Amino acid sequence: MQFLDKSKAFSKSSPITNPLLKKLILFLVVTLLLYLGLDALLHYHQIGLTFRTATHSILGNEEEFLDPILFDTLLEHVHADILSAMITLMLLTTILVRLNPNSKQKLVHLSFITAILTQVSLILAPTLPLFISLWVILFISWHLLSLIIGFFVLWKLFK
Amino acid sequence: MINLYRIGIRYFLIMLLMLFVTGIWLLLLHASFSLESFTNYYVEKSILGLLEVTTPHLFSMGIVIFILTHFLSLNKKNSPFESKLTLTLFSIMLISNFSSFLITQETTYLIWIKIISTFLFLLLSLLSMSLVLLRLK
Repeated sequence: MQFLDKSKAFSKSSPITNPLLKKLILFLVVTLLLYLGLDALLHYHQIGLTFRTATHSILGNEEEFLDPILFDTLLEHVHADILSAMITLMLLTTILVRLNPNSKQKLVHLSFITAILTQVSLILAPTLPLFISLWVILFISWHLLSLIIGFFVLWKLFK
Repeated sequence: MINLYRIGIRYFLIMLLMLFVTGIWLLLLHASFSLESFTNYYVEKSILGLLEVTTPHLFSMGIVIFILTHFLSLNKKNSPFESKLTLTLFSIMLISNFSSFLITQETTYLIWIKIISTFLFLLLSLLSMSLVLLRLK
Protein backbone atom coordinates (compact mmCIF):
# COMPACT_ATOMS: atom_id res chain seq x y z
CA MET A 1 0.00 0.00 0.00
CA GLN A 2 2.98 2.28 0.36
CA PHE A 3 2.93 2.82 -3.39
CA LEU A 4 -0.24 4.76 -2.79
CA ASP A 5 1.37 7.02 -0.20
CA LYS A 6 2.80 9.84 -2.25
CA SER A 7 2.36 12.39 0.50
CA LYS A 8 4.76 14.89 -0.99
CA ALA A 9 2.99 14.79 -4.33
CA PHE A 10 -0.42 15.48 -2.82
CA SER A 11 -2.22 18.45 -4.21
CA LYS A 12 -5.70 19.57 -3.20
CA SER A 13 -7.41 17.22 -5.63
CA SER A 14 -4.55 14.72 -6.00
CA PRO A 15 -5.53 13.23 -9.40
CA ILE A 16 -4.00 9.98 -10.56
CA THR A 17 -2.37 10.52 -13.93
CA ASN A 18 -0.75 7.12 -14.37
CA PRO A 19 -3.23 5.12 -16.55
CA LEU A 20 -1.99 1.75 -15.24
CA LEU A 21 -2.41 2.82 -11.60
CA LYS A 22 -5.87 4.15 -12.45
CA LYS A 23 -6.90 0.79 -13.95
CA LEU A 24 -5.37 -1.10 -11.01
CA ILE A 25 -7.34 0.98 -8.52
CA LEU A 26 -10.51 0.60 -10.59
CA PHE A 27 -10.32 -3.20 -10.67
CA LEU A 28 -9.29 -3.44 -7.02
CA VAL A 29 -12.20 -1.27 -5.86
CA VAL A 30 -14.70 -3.09 -8.12
CA THR A 31 -13.46 -6.41 -6.69
CA LEU A 32 -13.81 -5.10 -3.13
CA LEU A 33 -17.33 -3.82 -3.87
CA LEU A 34 -18.29 -7.23 -5.27
CA TYR A 35 -16.74 -8.87 -2.22
CA LEU A 36 -18.79 -6.66 0.12
CA GLY A 37 -22.01 -7.54 -1.70
CA LEU A 38 -21.27 -11.27 -1.69
CA ASP A 39 -20.16 -11.16 1.96
CA ALA A 40 -23.53 -9.66 2.89
CA LEU A 41 -25.30 -12.34 0.84
CA LEU A 42 -23.23 -15.09 2.52
CA HIS A 43 -24.03 -13.78 6.01
CA TYR A 44 -27.69 -13.45 5.01
CA HIS A 45 -27.76 -17.19 4.25
CA GLN A 46 -25.42 -18.37 7.04
CA ILE A 47 -26.69 -16.31 9.99
CA GLY A 48 -29.45 -14.07 8.66
CA LEU A 49 -29.58 -10.31 8.51
CA THR A 50 -32.87 -9.80 10.33
CA PHE A 51 -33.26 -10.01 14.10
CA ARG A 52 -35.56 -13.06 13.84
CA THR A 53 -33.39 -15.16 11.50
CA ALA A 54 -30.13 -14.20 13.25
CA THR A 55 -31.61 -15.13 16.65
CA HIS A 56 -32.74 -18.49 15.29
CA SER A 57 -29.30 -19.20 13.82
CA ILE A 58 -27.31 -18.10 16.89
CA LEU A 59 -29.56 -19.19 19.77
CA GLY A 60 -31.42 -22.00 17.97
CA ASN A 61 -35.16 -22.62 17.69
CA GLU A 62 -36.90 -25.61 19.24
CA GLU A 63 -40.00 -25.29 17.02
CA GLU A 64 -37.90 -25.53 13.86
CA PHE A 65 -35.48 -28.07 15.40
CA LEU A 66 -32.55 -25.68 15.00
CA ASP A 67 -29.58 -26.18 17.31
CA PRO A 68 -27.78 -23.10 18.67
CA ILE A 69 -24.50 -22.28 16.96
CA LEU A 70 -21.42 -23.72 18.72
CA PHE A 71 -19.26 -21.05 20.34
CA ASP A 72 -16.05 -22.23 18.63
CA THR A 73 -17.83 -22.09 15.24
CA LEU A 74 -18.93 -18.53 16.04
CA LEU A 75 -15.40 -17.60 17.12
CA GLU A 76 -13.93 -19.08 13.92
CA HIS A 77 -16.44 -16.99 11.99
CA VAL A 78 -15.40 -13.83 13.87
CA HIS A 79 -11.69 -14.66 13.43
CA ALA A 80 -12.08 -14.89 9.63
CA ASP A 81 -14.36 -11.82 9.48
CA ILE A 82 -11.84 -9.64 11.35
CA LEU A 83 -9.15 -10.42 8.78
CA SER A 84 -11.35 -9.68 5.77
CA ALA A 85 -12.80 -6.50 7.30
CA MET A 86 -9.33 -5.30 8.30
CA ILE A 87 -7.84 -5.75 4.82
CA THR A 88 -10.93 -4.45 2.96
CA LEU A 89 -11.19 -1.25 5.01
CA MET A 90 -7.44 -0.65 5.02
CA LEU A 91 -7.33 -0.87 1.22
CA LEU A 92 -10.45 1.27 0.70
CA THR A 93 -9.39 4.03 3.11
CA THR A 94 -5.83 4.10 1.76
CA ILE A 95 -7.15 4.57 -1.78
CA LEU A 96 -9.65 7.16 -0.54
CA VAL A 97 -6.90 9.21 1.10
CA ARG A 98 -4.70 8.86 -1.97
CA LEU A 99 -7.46 10.21 -4.22
CA ASN A 100 -8.88 12.75 -1.82
CA PRO A 101 -6.48 13.81 0.97
CA ASN A 102 -9.14 16.15 2.35
CA SER A 103 -11.68 13.36 2.93
CA LYS A 104 -13.85 13.54 6.01
CA GLN A 105 -12.22 11.81 8.97
CA LYS A 106 -15.66 10.84 10.32
CA LEU A 107 -16.29 8.42 7.44
CA VAL A 108 -13.02 6.58 8.08
CA HIS A 109 -13.58 6.52 11.87
CA LEU A 110 -17.18 5.34 11.50
CA SER A 111 -16.39 2.56 9.02
CA PHE A 112 -13.58 1.12 11.19
CA ILE A 113 -15.49 1.50 14.49
CA THR A 114 -18.64 -0.18 13.11
CA ALA A 115 -16.52 -3.03 11.67
CA ILE A 116 -14.76 -3.54 15.03
CA LEU A 117 -18.01 -3.40 17.02
CA THR A 118 -19.65 -5.84 14.57
CA GLN A 119 -17.13 -8.50 15.56
CA VAL A 120 -17.40 -7.71 19.29
CA SER A 121 -21.21 -7.91 19.21
CA LEU A 122 -21.11 -11.25 17.35
CA ILE A 123 -18.86 -12.72 20.07
CA LEU A 124 -21.27 -11.43 22.73
CA ALA A 125 -24.41 -12.46 20.78
CA PRO A 126 -24.97 -15.82 22.58
CA THR A 127 -25.04 -14.02 25.95
CA LEU A 128 -27.76 -11.41 25.26
CA PRO A 129 -30.31 -11.09 22.41
CA LEU A 130 -29.59 -7.33 22.41
CA PHE A 131 -26.16 -8.05 20.89
CA ILE A 132 -27.81 -9.99 18.04
CA SER A 133 -29.86 -6.97 16.94
CA LEU A 134 -26.77 -4.80 17.48
CA TRP A 135 -24.76 -7.18 15.28
CA VAL A 136 -27.36 -6.97 12.48
CA ILE A 137 -27.36 -3.14 12.58
CA LEU A 138 -23.57 -2.84 12.79
CA PHE A 139 -22.95 -5.46 10.10
CA ILE A 140 -25.23 -3.65 7.63
CA SER A 141 -23.71 -0.28 8.66
CA TRP A 142 -20.08 -1.20 8.06
CA HIS A 143 -20.93 -2.78 4.72
CA LEU A 144 -22.91 0.32 3.67
CA LEU A 145 -20.11 2.67 4.80
CA SER A 146 -17.54 0.62 2.89
CA LEU A 147 -19.77 0.67 -0.19
CA ILE A 148 -20.05 4.48 0.13
CA ILE A 149 -16.24 4.76 0.33
CA GLY A 150 -15.88 2.41 -2.67
CA PHE A 151 -18.36 4.29 -4.85
CA PHE A 152 -16.86 7.63 -3.79
CA VAL A 153 -13.43 6.37 -4.88
CA LEU A 154 -14.85 5.32 -8.27
CA TRP A 155 -16.51 8.73 -8.67
CA LYS A 156 -13.26 10.52 -7.76
CA LEU A 157 -11.28 8.31 -10.12
CA PHE A 158 -13.32 9.38 -13.16
CA LYS A 159 -14.29 12.89 -12.15
CA MET B 1 2.31 11.51 6.44
CA ILE B 2 -1.32 12.55 6.08
CA ASN B 3 -3.36 12.30 9.30
CA LEU B 4 -5.99 10.05 7.71
CA TYR B 5 -3.30 7.46 6.95
CA ARG B 6 -2.35 7.48 10.62
CA ILE B 7 -5.99 6.89 11.61
CA GLY B 8 -6.33 3.96 9.19
CA ILE B 9 -3.08 2.38 10.40
CA ARG B 10 -4.12 2.72 14.07
CA TYR B 11 -7.42 0.96 13.40
CA PHE B 12 -5.54 -1.70 11.42
CA LEU B 13 -3.36 -2.35 14.49
CA ILE B 14 -6.43 -2.60 16.76
CA MET B 15 -8.04 -5.13 14.40
CA LEU B 16 -4.78 -7.07 14.16
CA LEU B 17 -4.71 -7.28 17.96
CA MET B 18 -8.31 -8.58 17.86
CA LEU B 19 -7.21 -11.16 15.28
CA PHE B 20 -4.45 -12.38 17.62
CA VAL B 21 -6.79 -12.48 20.63
CA THR B 22 -9.45 -14.52 18.78
CA GLY B 23 -6.72 -16.77 17.33
CA ILE B 24 -5.27 -17.55 20.78
CA TRP B 25 -8.79 -17.96 22.16
CA LEU B 26 -9.63 -20.50 19.43
CA LEU B 27 -6.39 -22.40 20.02
CA LEU B 28 -7.12 -22.60 23.75
CA LEU B 29 -10.72 -23.71 23.08
CA HIS B 30 -9.48 -26.53 20.86
CA ALA B 31 -6.32 -27.52 22.66
CA SER B 32 -6.68 -26.04 26.20
CA PHE B 33 -3.77 -25.13 28.47
CA SER B 34 -2.17 -28.53 29.12
CA LEU B 35 0.77 -29.72 27.03
CA GLU B 36 -0.82 -33.16 26.62
CA SER B 37 -4.08 -31.91 25.14
CA PHE B 38 -2.16 -29.45 22.99
CA THR B 39 -0.04 -32.32 21.61
CA ASN B 40 -3.09 -34.57 21.15
CA TYR B 41 -4.82 -31.85 19.15
CA TYR B 42 -2.12 -32.10 16.47
CA VAL B 43 -1.44 -35.84 16.76
CA GLU B 44 -5.11 -36.72 16.29
CA LYS B 45 -5.57 -34.47 13.27
CA SER B 46 -5.43 -36.03 9.80
CA ILE B 47 -3.33 -34.52 7.00
CA LEU B 48 -6.54 -33.05 5.53
CA GLY B 49 -7.45 -31.55 8.91
CA LEU B 50 -3.99 -29.97 9.20
CA LEU B 51 -4.24 -28.66 5.64
CA GLU B 52 -7.60 -27.08 6.43
CA VAL B 53 -5.97 -25.11 9.23
CA THR B 54 -2.60 -24.38 7.63
CA THR B 55 -3.75 -23.22 4.17
CA PRO B 56 -5.83 -20.16 5.19
CA HIS B 57 -3.28 -19.30 7.90
CA LEU B 58 -0.35 -19.40 5.49
CA PHE B 59 -2.15 -17.01 3.14
CA SER B 60 -3.46 -14.60 5.78
CA MET B 61 -0.32 -14.54 7.95
CA GLY B 62 1.83 -13.83 4.89
CA ILE B 63 -0.38 -10.92 3.84
CA VAL B 64 -0.61 -9.54 7.38
CA ILE B 65 3.18 -9.67 7.95
CA PHE B 66 3.72 -7.92 4.62
CA ILE B 67 1.27 -5.11 5.46
CA LEU B 68 2.54 -4.74 9.03
CA THR B 69 6.25 -4.69 8.25
CA HIS B 70 5.85 -2.41 5.24
CA PHE B 71 4.50 0.27 7.62
CA LEU B 72 7.95 0.25 9.27
CA SER B 73 9.40 1.85 6.17
CA LEU B 74 6.89 4.70 5.93
CA ASN B 75 8.87 7.50 7.56
CA LYS B 76 12.45 6.66 6.77
CA LYS B 77 14.59 4.38 4.66
CA ASN B 78 14.89 0.73 5.64
CA SER B 79 17.50 -0.09 8.23
CA PRO B 80 19.12 -3.55 8.66
CA PHE B 81 17.03 -4.04 11.84
CA GLU B 82 13.76 -3.82 9.91
CA SER B 83 15.01 -6.20 7.24
CA LYS B 84 16.06 -8.71 9.92
CA LEU B 85 12.75 -8.32 11.76
CA THR B 86 10.77 -8.94 8.56
CA LEU B 87 12.89 -11.94 7.60
CA THR B 88 12.61 -13.43 11.10
CA LEU B 89 8.84 -12.89 11.21
CA PHE B 90 8.36 -14.62 7.85
CA SER B 91 10.67 -17.52 8.80
CA ILE B 92 9.01 -18.06 12.19
CA MET B 93 5.56 -17.92 10.59
CA LEU B 94 6.59 -20.65 8.12
CA ILE B 95 8.12 -22.80 10.91
CA SER B 96 5.00 -22.34 13.05
CA ASN B 97 2.68 -23.40 10.22
CA PHE B 98 4.67 -26.34 8.85
CA SER B 99 5.77 -27.77 12.21
CA SER B 100 2.16 -29.01 12.68
CA PHE B 101 2.80 -31.63 9.98
CA LEU B 102 5.84 -33.01 11.83
CA ILE B 103 4.04 -33.75 15.11
CA THR B 104 3.13 -37.45 15.20
CA GLN B 105 2.71 -40.15 17.89
CA GLU B 106 6.46 -40.85 17.73
CA THR B 107 7.63 -37.23 17.55
CA THR B 108 5.50 -35.57 20.22
CA TYR B 109 8.54 -33.58 21.43
CA LEU B 110 8.26 -31.50 18.24
CA ILE B 111 5.27 -29.77 19.81
CA TRP B 112 7.88 -27.50 21.41
CA ILE B 113 8.85 -26.18 17.98
CA LYS B 114 5.19 -25.30 17.39
CA ILE B 115 4.79 -23.66 20.82
CA ILE B 116 8.05 -21.68 20.71
CA SER B 117 7.60 -20.52 17.09
CA THR B 118 3.98 -19.46 17.70
CA PHE B 119 5.00 -17.61 20.87
CA LEU B 120 7.91 -15.92 19.08
CA PHE B 121 5.65 -14.98 16.17
CA LEU B 122 3.21 -13.27 18.54
CA LEU B 123 6.03 -11.55 20.41
CA LEU B 124 7.72 -10.22 17.26
CA SER B 125 4.38 -9.15 15.78
CA LEU B 126 3.64 -7.16 18.93
CA LEU B 127 7.13 -5.63 18.72
CA SER B 128 6.52 -4.63 15.08
CA MET B 129 3.11 -3.20 16.01
CA SER B 130 4.61 -1.09 18.79
CA LEU B 131 7.36 0.12 16.43
CA VAL B 132 4.73 1.13 13.85
CA LEU B 133 2.77 2.96 16.56
CA LEU B 134 5.92 4.82 17.66
CA ARG B 135 6.58 5.96 14.09
CA LEU B 136 3.06 7.30 13.74
CA LYS B 137 3.69 9.91 16.42
